[in-house]
Amino acid sequence: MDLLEYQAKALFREVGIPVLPSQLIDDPREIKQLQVPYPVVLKSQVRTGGRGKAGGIRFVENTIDAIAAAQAILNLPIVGEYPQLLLAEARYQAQTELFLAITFDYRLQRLVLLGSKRGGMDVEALLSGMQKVVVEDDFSSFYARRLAVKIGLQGKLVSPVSDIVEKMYGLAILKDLDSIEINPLAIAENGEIMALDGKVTVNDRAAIYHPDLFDLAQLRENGNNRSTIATRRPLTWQNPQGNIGILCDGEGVAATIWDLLYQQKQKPRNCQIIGAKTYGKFFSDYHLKDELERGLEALLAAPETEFIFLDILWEENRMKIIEAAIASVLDFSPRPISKPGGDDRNERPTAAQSRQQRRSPRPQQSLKSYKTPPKIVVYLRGGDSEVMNSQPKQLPIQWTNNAEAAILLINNEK
Amino acid sequence: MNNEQLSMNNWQSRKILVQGITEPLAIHAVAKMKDYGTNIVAGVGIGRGGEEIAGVPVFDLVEEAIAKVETVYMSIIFVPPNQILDAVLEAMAANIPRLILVTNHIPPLDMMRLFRKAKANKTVVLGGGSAGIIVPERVLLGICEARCYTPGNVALIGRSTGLLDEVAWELTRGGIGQSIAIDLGNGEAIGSGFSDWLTLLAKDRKTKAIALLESAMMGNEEAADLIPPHFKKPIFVYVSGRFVPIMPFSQDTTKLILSRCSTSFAHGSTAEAKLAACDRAGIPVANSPSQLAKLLQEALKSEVKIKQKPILTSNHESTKLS
Repeated sequence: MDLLEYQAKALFREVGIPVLPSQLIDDPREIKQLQVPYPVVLKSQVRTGGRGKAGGIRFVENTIDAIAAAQAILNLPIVGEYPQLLLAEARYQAQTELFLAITFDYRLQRLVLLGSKRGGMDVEALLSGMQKVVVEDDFSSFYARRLAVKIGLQGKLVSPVSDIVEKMYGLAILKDLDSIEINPLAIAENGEIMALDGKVTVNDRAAIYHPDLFDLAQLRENGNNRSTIATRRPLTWQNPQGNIGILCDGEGVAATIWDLLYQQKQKPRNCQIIGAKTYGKFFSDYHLKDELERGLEALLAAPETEFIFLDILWEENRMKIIEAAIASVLDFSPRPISKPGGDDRNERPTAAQSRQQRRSPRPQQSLKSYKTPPKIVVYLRGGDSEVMNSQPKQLPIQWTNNAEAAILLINNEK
Repeated sequence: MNNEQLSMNNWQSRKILVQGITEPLAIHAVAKMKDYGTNIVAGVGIGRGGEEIAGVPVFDLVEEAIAKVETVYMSIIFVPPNQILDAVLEAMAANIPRLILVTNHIPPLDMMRLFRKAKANKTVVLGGGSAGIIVPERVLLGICEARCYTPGNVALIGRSTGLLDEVAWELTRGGIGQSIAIDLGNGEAIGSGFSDWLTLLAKDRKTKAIALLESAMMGNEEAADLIPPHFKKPIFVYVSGRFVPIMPFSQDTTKLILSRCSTSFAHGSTAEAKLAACDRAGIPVANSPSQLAKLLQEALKSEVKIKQKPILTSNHESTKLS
């Protein structure tokens, strides 16, 4: 979870990393009461990077310019994100700008210190000067000094810069940060040091340790609070041309199903994972039905979805629950689905209908009136074929315990 | 676990502890493990000492459990992510030499401390986010779905619970049994890896061939790069998710910078990288679980005829099928 600049700076202030006096603005009219002396820099408070190049940072000399600039910034989305606040900060004359960061390296399983003498907005220049120090064991000040020297600092600058790195490290440990960055860290002609911009990413999974940070992050966020581990979640896989929705109890298996469909020249569209919290291994009957229903609804929200490929682990009572979940989401009764191999191509939703459906906001229940219910193939991993065959089935669903046979069933439906 | 015959050990005599036994997944898993004959002797559930779960006595502390049941061979840990470091430290303080971490999503700094301590202590850690180990019809340690597995001579190593079950099921249906299946875990960082387990499987007499199961964007390593030198048993790789459209990571400048200079994403190894590693190592790649079954079947047949041939000279045909 990313903190906004002003939130990051609040943390910097807590540990004694120097930041400029600033003021938070959420209405351009507040600029008239600005306490920060001109010239001032106004900065859009968004989580995405690159706001400088996108016009989210403006320098102003007086109140009239400031009000106009504030209005412009508050109405300017940065990569789709509108700022709710802007930060007015005193302008600072830097002689040198450094880049400093600390991040967790998953391959090394260590925290690494990063630094570049060429901080600022030019990413290529910044990277060309990048130096790295791996903190091998317990942290000690010399790691920070090593970074300062590696990036080419000398004499009087080594100590104050390494001191900043040490304070950043302290924050990273104290607050379970994924990463902390200061860019630029300005050094003035007189040797004064100032953190002009900061980026702090809190580890979502460590949320439980730091309720304060999460309160901070969710401030003014219109209910956009991310839960840490959702139990049902959509995968980011998207194929806009696809017509098969996959509902599955694990990401690795879902990937296999996607590949098998693709190799058979089928068009998987998207995928929903259920039971992520328990690796798809354990559901109460209620939760299984509930997650199946919500997963189906999410997949069927795209009118292009003509097929549902459901793949979960077999258990004896699950066929009943799957049928109940499907029956509660889809209504098969008005016109039963045709037998496999049957041709009902003409009755499928056309593209025009699809567009119409997409435009009109549909209440949830309207899935029941979905013109032609999607074809549904259920593959039960580890399924006992005898038991599967002997169980009574109410709905026109294809059942199998063989992944490739399931793919062929979809092939045959076409 | 050196010099062990993993798939042939006398598992009945080995005492297994379950930490976090009061978690819903643990309750479900303990019943299944007991049914399978796993010798679970005690559980730890904070505040639930004195109770019984699926016939297993529950204690508040690991040391209380140890006092009662004496030496424990392994602990399987199900506690919530924020309690995992404590659970591991408690197990190590009680000298339990092997740990399976079913728990996933461990905060990174806890994870860093955990693995550092485990290494210093020479504790073997499987996971986080591991489904554990199954030796078909001998022992179930964790949450693999037993009905997908059948005894045989193929060892499976993977990093995804579902995929392990899926491939085992495909092999079982194709008449190919398994000597053992090991889930390294899909955690952001894991303890023991492909090379550690391959070293053990090299000595396992029941294991005649090995399948490494990989998934796109799982881990930061490529299994084929991690095969110990001069490895004699035939190895095959299956990579799931080769055709899955992977969204690019965040376009955020900060993250791009960090990811250019460090491995700041937990799972960054692409299917292409994994396949390229197989190509470099000359490891045959299966395009699907059923093709993997066919490759393994051929390998097991030739295993009977000629003694053994090093994998590096094995034919490249299967890779070309892709």
